[in-house]
Amino acid sequence: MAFELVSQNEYLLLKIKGEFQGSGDTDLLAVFKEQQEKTQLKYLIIQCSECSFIGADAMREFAQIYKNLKTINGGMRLVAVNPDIEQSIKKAGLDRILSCKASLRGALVDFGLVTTKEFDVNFINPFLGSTLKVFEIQCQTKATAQKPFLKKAGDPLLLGDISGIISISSETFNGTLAISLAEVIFVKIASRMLGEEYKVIDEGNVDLIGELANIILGQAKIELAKLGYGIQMALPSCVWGKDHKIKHFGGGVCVVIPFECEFGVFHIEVMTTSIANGTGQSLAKSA
Amino acid sequence: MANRRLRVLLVDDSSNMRTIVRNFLEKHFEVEVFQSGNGEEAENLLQECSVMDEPIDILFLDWMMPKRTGLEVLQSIRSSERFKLDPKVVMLTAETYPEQINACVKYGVSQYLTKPFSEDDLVRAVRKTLDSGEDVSNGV
Repeated sequence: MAFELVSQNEYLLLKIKGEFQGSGDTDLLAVFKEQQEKTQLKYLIIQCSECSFIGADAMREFAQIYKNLKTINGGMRLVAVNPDIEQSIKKAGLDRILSCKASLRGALVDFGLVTTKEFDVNFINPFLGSTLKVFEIQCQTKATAQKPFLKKAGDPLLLGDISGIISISSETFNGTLAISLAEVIFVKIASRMLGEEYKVIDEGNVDLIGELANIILGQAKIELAKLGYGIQMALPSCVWGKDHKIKHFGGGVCVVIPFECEFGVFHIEVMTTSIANGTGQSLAKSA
Repeated sequence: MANRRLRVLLVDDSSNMRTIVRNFLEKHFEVEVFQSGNGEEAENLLQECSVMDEPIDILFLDWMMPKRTGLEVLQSIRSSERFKLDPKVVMLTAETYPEQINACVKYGVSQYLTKPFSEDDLVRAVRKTLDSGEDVSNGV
């Protein structure tokens, strides 16, 4: 069978793989109807992360399911769709019906099945874990995390002399990730990574901090995806100099995670602002 | 290629990331390294090398770059007859979603290596690329 339909707590999940031309011998609409009647679930999420192509017949079958769901005030979303599939859906003039979301979380928010408060609990851990991994593999030094704390307005600036900053955007929240290092730590890490000894921050080594922010976010994305958050990456930026300020976008509350490595203590900051319910509430408030 | 050095083009907007990759490569391979900070320039270099009969063997592509993404560069070069099959492409990127990996596989990447990567990860990816362009690894 080219598909698998399973029921979750509050929605039906259709998994499709490879080149999905359509349900073939098995009637997808009939299977869906049977499952829907049995479970009374009115939301369908089509998981496309392992699908490379959706054919015209398959699109027609999805449209039939959509019609079916509309009659019971339900909804349907495609998640983790690759850019080519999204383009072909648009070309077929079905992008309003076969609505695509980057993440499961985005779809669940559309259906009203998750609340902002639910976001709070495990949000910081992916950033913590990814920083440890990136330092061990890319910077070739082990780091340990210390207790995270909230950064309030008026709190003193972080002690870093150089910061890499990258914006985080998703369907349910926006924010910023920053990594901030003292010069003495940065030059030691840069020396180790680049195989050349550096004594100061300079134009030649500065982009390394932006790259670290980028890689930390890239790794955090994997864990955030497991929590249902889909993240789009942007180009990082770098700022350096004594007493430089980190400007976070959106003005939400910011969580600071200190880390210690063999060269000293450094920090990452994660600021998030929910856009799911339009309240602008920070996702990290209760972290 | 047996009697000459491996020709590699590194495309990453971070010059330091290019240095890291170059250092690792030079430690393990007889290699001639070309570098570019953006996709547009990379395509020019690729064509130039090809026309000069000094073709690039392996193209390392970052994803998130100014002007054009690595995927756009990949799509563009694979759509031309000249670069339909060669050079072999290794994606080296912080982008980690399966759908992004699948999109690159569709356009014929040999390896998909995610950052952070170790020296061993990189050397393995190059060896696999040289052995066969079919076996796509996901370093996630």
